[in-house]
Order: sequence, then C-alpha cells, then structure tokens
Amino acid sequence: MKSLIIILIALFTSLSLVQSDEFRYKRERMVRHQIEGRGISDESTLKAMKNVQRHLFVPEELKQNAYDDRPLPIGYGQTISQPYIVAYMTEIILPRKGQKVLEIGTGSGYQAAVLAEIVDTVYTIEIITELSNSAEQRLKKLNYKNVYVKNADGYYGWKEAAPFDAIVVTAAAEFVPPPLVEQLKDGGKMIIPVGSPFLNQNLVLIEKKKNKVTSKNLIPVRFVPFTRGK
Amino acid sequence: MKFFFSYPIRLKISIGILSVAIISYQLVLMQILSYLQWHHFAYMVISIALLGFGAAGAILTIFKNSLTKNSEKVIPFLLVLSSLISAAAVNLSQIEIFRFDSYTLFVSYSNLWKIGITYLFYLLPFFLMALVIGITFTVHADQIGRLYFANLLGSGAGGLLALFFISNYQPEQLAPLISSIPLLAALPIAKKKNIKLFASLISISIIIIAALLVFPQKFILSEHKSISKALNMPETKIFYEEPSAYGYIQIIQSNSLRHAPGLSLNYMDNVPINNAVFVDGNWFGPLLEKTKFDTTKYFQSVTGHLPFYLKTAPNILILDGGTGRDALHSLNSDTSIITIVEQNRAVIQLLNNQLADEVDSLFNNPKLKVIQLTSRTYLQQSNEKYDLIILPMIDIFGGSIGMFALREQYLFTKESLNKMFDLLTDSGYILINSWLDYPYRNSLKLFSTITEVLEEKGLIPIEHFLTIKNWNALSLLIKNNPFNNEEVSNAKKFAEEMSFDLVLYDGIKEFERDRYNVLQDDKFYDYLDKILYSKEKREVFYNQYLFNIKPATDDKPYFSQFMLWKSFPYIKESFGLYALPFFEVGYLILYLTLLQIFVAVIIFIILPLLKVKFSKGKRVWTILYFSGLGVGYMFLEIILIQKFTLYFGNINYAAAAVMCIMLVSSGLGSLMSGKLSKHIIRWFWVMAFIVVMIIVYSFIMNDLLLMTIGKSILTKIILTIALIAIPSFLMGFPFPVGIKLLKESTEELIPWAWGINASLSVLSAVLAVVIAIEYGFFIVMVIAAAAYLISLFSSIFQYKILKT
Repeated sequence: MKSLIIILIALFTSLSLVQSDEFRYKRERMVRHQIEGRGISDESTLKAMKNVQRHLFVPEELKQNAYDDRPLPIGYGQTISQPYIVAYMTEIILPRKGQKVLEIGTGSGYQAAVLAEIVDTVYTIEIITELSNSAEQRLKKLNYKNVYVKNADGYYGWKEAAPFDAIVVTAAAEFVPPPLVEQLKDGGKMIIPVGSPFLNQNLVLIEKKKNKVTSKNLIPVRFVPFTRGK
Repeated sequence: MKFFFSYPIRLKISIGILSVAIISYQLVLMQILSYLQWHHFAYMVISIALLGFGAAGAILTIFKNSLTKNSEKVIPFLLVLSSLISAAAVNLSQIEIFRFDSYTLFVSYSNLWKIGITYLFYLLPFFLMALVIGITFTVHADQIGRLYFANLLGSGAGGLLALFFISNYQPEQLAPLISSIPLLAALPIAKKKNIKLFASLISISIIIIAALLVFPQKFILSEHKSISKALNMPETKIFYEEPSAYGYIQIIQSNSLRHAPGLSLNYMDNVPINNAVFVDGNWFGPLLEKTKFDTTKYFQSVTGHLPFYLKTAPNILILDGGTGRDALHSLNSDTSIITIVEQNRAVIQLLNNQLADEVDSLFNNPKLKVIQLTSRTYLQQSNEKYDLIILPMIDIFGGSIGMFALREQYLFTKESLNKMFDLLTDSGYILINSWLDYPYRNSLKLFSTITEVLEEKGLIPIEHFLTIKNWNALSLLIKNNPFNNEEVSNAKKFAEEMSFDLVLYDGIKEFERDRYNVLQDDKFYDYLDKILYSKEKREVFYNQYLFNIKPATDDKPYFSQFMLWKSFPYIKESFGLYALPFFEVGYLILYLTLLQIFVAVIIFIILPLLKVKFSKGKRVWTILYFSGLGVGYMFLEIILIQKFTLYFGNINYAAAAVMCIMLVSSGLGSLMSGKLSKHIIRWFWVMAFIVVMIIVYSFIMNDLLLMTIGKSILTKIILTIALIAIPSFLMGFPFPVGIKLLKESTEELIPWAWGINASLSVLSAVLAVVIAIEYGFFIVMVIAAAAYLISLFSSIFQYKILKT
C-alpha cells in the first residue's frame, strides 16, 4: 500500500514537473519569437517576461493558450493583454530599479507582476471589485511583496503614493484623467492604449516635461509576426 | 360543440392569426438579439426563418400524403407545439452552457457550437409554423386567393403588433407574449374529436406562458456590450428602464462614469461624473447636470470648442442631439436659439418629463427648440439659416465595433452635406467631431466626402477647412466661404492655449501638425493631401487604400461601411482574427448569412425537388416564376422602407407603415385574383404593368419624395399610400394565380412552389442589402423590375406550353 502511495505521489510530482517544464518552454519560446523577434531589446523587460508565469494569470480553461500571441478574456469584459503589448508597454516607460510605477487597470495582475520584477514598487488600481480581489490574492500567492493593489476608481490615481516615475494605463481611456497627469513626476512617462480591448495594439505615450504635457502615438499595429526562429 | 363559422372560414382566420405570429416572432427575435448582442444578428434571424420555411417545404414535399391526409388533425397540434417552443426558445438559449458571446467568437471557439444550438432553438418555431401554412396552401390550393389574403393581412398586422410589443414590454417578455398567438390560431380549428387532449395541451401551454410572463428570466447581455462594462463599475446601477419603439432604454446611475471627448491634456480640473443613457445595451449619451458641476471650463477645453472660440453663433442647429451634451455646450456660449434634432422620441420625452432633473430641465430651456425627427429629414424640410451646425460625434469610443456598418446613415451622405451648406449663413460653420481611429477610416471618409461636396460646388476645398486635433480626437470646421486670416490666427491661439495641433487650413506648415500630439507616422497627412488636392490622385487612392473611404451617397448611404474583401487579410495579419468582431464584422456576417442561405436553399429546396417527378419544362417555369416573384417583391419592399424612412424621419414607423400598406394591398390583390386565372392575357398585362411601375419608380421616386418632404403630414400620408398601395395591389395577383394554375396542371409542385417563393423572399431581404452596399439602391430597383420581367416571360412560356 505504502509503495502504491509513493508511486502515485511520484507520478503526480513528475506530471506537474512535466507541465511546469512545458509552460517554461512555451514562455521562453514566447519571449524569443513574439517579443525579442519583434524588436523588444530591453534586458530587464525580457528577463521579467521570462520570469513571470503568465499561465497563472489566465482563467483555468485558457491555461493552454496562455502563451499564445493574443489577448485572452478574463471575464467582466476585460482581457489579459497580448504578451508583446505587455512587453512593449513595459519597455517604453524605461523601468529601472528604484522606480515607483502606478498601474491603472490591474485586471489579472500580470502587467503588475512584470513591472514588479523590475522596479521597486508597483501600485495598481482596479475598479472591478472581483478582479481586484482575485489579482491581489494571486500576486500575494506568487510572493510579489512590492505590489500594492487597491480596488478603486483609477481616475483619481493613488495620491498618497504619488509622484510616480511612470504610469501604465492598461484599459483604453477616452481622455487622460487630470489627477494622473498631476501624479506623474516631471520627466515621467505615461502609456495608454487606444481602442477596444481586443484591439489595443495602438498605444499613446504621454510625457510631462516642465509641466508641459505632450503625446505621441506609437507604432504597434503593424507588428511583424515572427522574424526569428522560422 | 357547434361552430359559428364553417371550417374553411375558420381555417382562414387561423392562417391570418398564425401569420401575425410568424412575422411578429421574427421581428421580436431581431430586437432581442440586438439587445443581447448586436443588430447584425437581424440577418441571422432572417436566415433562421428561411431555414424554417425551407425545411417545412422539404418535409411537406417528401411526406405530402401523410401530412395532407390528416391535415385537420395535425394542424392544431402543430400550432400548440410551435407556441410552446417559441415561448421557451429564447430562455433555453440563455442557459449558461448554450449562451454564446459573438464578441469572443474567434477567441473561444466553443461559441461556434453555442451559436449552432441557439440557431436550432430559434429555428424550430419557424419550422412548425411554416409547416402549418404549407399544409394549408397545399390542401386548399383551390382557395389560395383567400388564404393568401389572410396570410398577407396577418403578416401586415404582425409587423404592427411586434412594434406595439417592443414599445411596451421588456425584452424578456416579448417571446412569451408572441408565443400565445399560435394558441389563438389553434382554437378556431380544434377538432371536436380530440377536444379533451387539445384542451389539456392548451391549458399547459397557457400556464407555461403565464409563468414566463409573470416571472421573466432576466436576460444576460454580452459582457462586451457597453452597458455591461458600465455596470461592472462599483456603485453603478440601472435606475430607470423603459421599452420603446426605438429600442430598450436603460439609464444608469454611476459614481465613476465620465465622458470627455477631445479633452485637452492641459485641463487640470475635475471631469464631471455622468449618469448615462443606453439603448439596447449600447451607449446613447451622458446626462450632464449643470447645477452639480460648472461645465464652463470643461467645455472650453475640448477640441469641439473651436467654433465657439472663433465667434458667437446666435442660431445653432444640433443634429442627432442625443441627451443634449452639445446643447449644454452651446448654452455656455452667447447664443440666442438652439434647435436640437433627435429622432429618439422616447429618450427626449423622458428627459423632458420624468427625468428632467437628471439634465437640469435642459430640454425645457426657453432657448432650446426640440425637433423629434431624423436629422436628415429635418435638413430636407428646413429653410432656416444657421450660424453653426453641429453633427454628432463620429464613431463610438474604442472603435466602431461595426455598430453602424450596415446601417443607413443619411446624415453623412454627400447630399446631406450639400443641404447643410445650403442652411448655413455666409459666415456660418459646420462642426464635425470624430475619434482618431486607426487604421484611418472615419476621418478619411469624412475628408473625402466634404472635399467632393466642395469640389462639386466649384470651390477650392482646402480654403474651406479648419481642423484641429488632440491626442485621440479631431474637430473639423467647414464653411461656405474661405476661412479668413483672423479665423486662422484665432484657431492657432486656441490650439496653443490647449496644446492642440492644427491639422488642416489653407497654408498649413508641416511643423504645426505635430507640435503637441505626434502621430505615429506622416501617412495621415499624406492621405489628406491625396484626397484634397487632386481628383485623379484621390480616385487612385480610393482604389489603393485597404478600406472603403469613398463618400457615402443617398443611393449608398453606408458611411460606416469601410470593409473591402482586401481588408480582411490585413486585419488578420495586423490585429489577429480575434479582433475581427471588435473591428467591423457586420459586412462579413452579411456575406456569411447570404452564403448560408444559399446552402440552405440548395439543401431544403433544390434537393427535395429532385425527388419529385415532373416534366423538365414545368420545373424551369416554376423555378423562374416563383423565384422572380419572391425576389421582386422583397427588393421593392426593402427599397420602399429606405425611401420612406427618410421621408417620415423614423425607421420603425416607416418600416411598419410600408410593410402594412404593402401586405394589406397585396392581400386585397390576391383576393381579387380569382378571376384573373381565367383571363390569362390580363395576367400578363398585370405583370407587365408591375415591371413598368418599378422602372418608373426607380427614376422618379427619390426626387418626388424629396420635393414633397416639407408638405403637410396628410398630403404625405396620401401620397405614401398611393405610391405603395397601387403596385402592391397588383403584386398580390401573380402568386395565387400561379398556384391556381399549378393546381390545374401539376398539383404536386405546389408545396415546392410555395417553399421557393418564401425562401427567395427571405433570401432577397439579405441580398437587397448586399446589393445596396455594393452597387446602390437604384440597382436594387432595376433588379426588382428584372425579377418581375423574368416571372412575366416564364408565365408566357408556360402559357405556350399549356396551349400546345
């Protein structure tokens, strides 16, 4: 009987290891093909994308699709962005150690986790209570101690923790909330997507220099699929 | 039990009532799917109805003997069954394991089989109801004139009844309400012999329907609809809802919903929180309370403030004014009178009365004149001169999601813009705000439309544009006379203050376009140059561009239809297939529906036909004759609905009126058709007359309606009845005459002839829209005439066969 239990435990452990290896392989391939292959070169961003286990941030039934080159639904009409977009949004704000970043729209918590791998502190706000709670639990479980989650209206930002070196807005907004501009450090960068949830390849970078605010529409859209590893 | 009327009369009453149920169920399903998903599913409902009719025709062709032999017994039970299934179908499709979400169609493929199941749920009631009609027409072909009259009369009434139900009941109650109608149809023809069984079945049905009516199951909308997203926000709830002929109105109260299109990045004050109106689950407009929030600075900081910054406009016209946001903006300026045109009478009534406090009684402001019409109809009727005409914001925030791709938008056609220019004072402006979409579609089509209109007026387009942008929105100002230096320099001042960029004016410098808000590349400006400066370059550009940006016209009023076949690979490559439903899938759905209908026609009509033995000559004649009638009738109906929508300014009432007049007149025609089958030559003349009338209509109708659009309502109604009733009366003859002749020659072909006519009618409802989008309404009319001509030739040919 004892030996049977041992065999079962061994079988279960090896299955989990196989699965975990499978996800690691998929993640590395994702970084190589979808991210590096499309021109993301910031070392810290690439490292963070390799480290964060994306499959733990998607609904159970979509786990196998976690490393696909597309956004996935996470309920409540929200999505976890396409890996490339997460990497792009991360790289563009030039995240570094010692920085403090605000994220508006926690969603699954994936973008916050990626940022938390690089910067000192991440403050993230989610307006949908259910998503906020589940993301907070998930990030806690994954031991992200430098991420603070708040269930609130992102419009007001996080005044107590301001100013921020960068702000990442992950949900498309029809205007830039004035409090967010106020809470951005001079020289800080804010990235914001334009368009529907499944169409958010169009990004706008907002910069604040000497209290002058300017915007720049960034590439995306025409991402070239798979330039490497064909 | 003794009946007051004879069985044949009771049967006609039954067919009439059943026809009410079929049409109203179809319209109600369209409304429910618009509410749960989006309105493109109207075409899916049409195709479901077709499948139902086709399948019924096929079953009837194959099992003709057994079904017709016991028709008196079978029909009442089929009716009760159809009632039960139609009551339950929508509720069944709402069960979680079956509920599909069209927005994530390409993300989660499980949606595909869920759509399949829903299809089946919706198909069954149509199949059963159509089977009853088919059996009746086959068994009682000798009375086809009167039966067809009852069928058409009932269908006409069904349209009106659906409109009444949609206007007065919650979406959840619509299907159970309609499902009670087949029960009513069953009552007059119940057989004495089976009365106990029948009575118990009826009682069970009534209990189920009553339960569904009293305790309606709350519908769950797609989580990607704008109202679902709004309701995800904390402390957000629906505080008022009301059914209306314009869709289901819901008003939400929120502590976090804000609306600020075109807001400057320099604006550092509060953005007001709005309650908001949604119609059929889609965003309709914000409710701004001036007393809660001083909107002066907020309105002064949006791109749309440009005309107010340049000068005072005493007389302002706001088209598709919605919930009055632009009216409130205008009231902040020094204006004397504001005319606001909004077709959604139900929302205006609400904001005028019960919910007046929500907008600080904005609509009761003495400076405000509210016109409840479609904006285009008002433009055609009006002779006033305005200093500023404001159009509604183009596109929905976050992409069009194909909302309007297949919807006729007469406000954004070249003819409409021309009319706006006529209503402007010499120094007046037209203001159009638009989101900056990417890939560029709305903005480019706007520029191409205005450029062509200005060119046709003999003006130099660039002199009449003054355009600014922020980071995600554009505001276009246009006028009859060239913009002068003072206006341009004031616009520059405004742009400087707000960190906006100038996009277009005569003499613009490159650096002015991207001072504060830089676009990803120079392509947008390159495209503008191609559109603005040379007709030849513009035409080449239209053909090269990946999307359709040719101006919309009254003949092809589909401003938001941007898709071309070559757009699909581009979207798939650049955005991924999963993005398609959020892009503009209506065009694709339309074609897919058409394809599916073709397949259905082959499976349900053509294949069963092969089983029936009859001479080849008669088969060809039957195909051509009944197909021609189906196509011709429906094509004309679709066109008439379009024309009269513009004429009366309300699509719901126009559709109901056209359908009703057409079906009743045709019903009368079929009633009178009895004698015609004995005078074959007269039959030919009637058909020829129909062809001539359609051809004449295709040339004169548009002008005639635009000429009389400003006349009194009585004159317009008389003209409408005359224009529709005369051809429709004549169009009621050919079908029953054809069936009667079949009865005398090839009786076995009757169910099949009826099936092909019904199927082609439904197919044509979709086909007419496809042809209108691709080639325009004129071509649809020409094809309608050609279809009747084909029926005419086939009848002459058949006559010759009979004679020889």
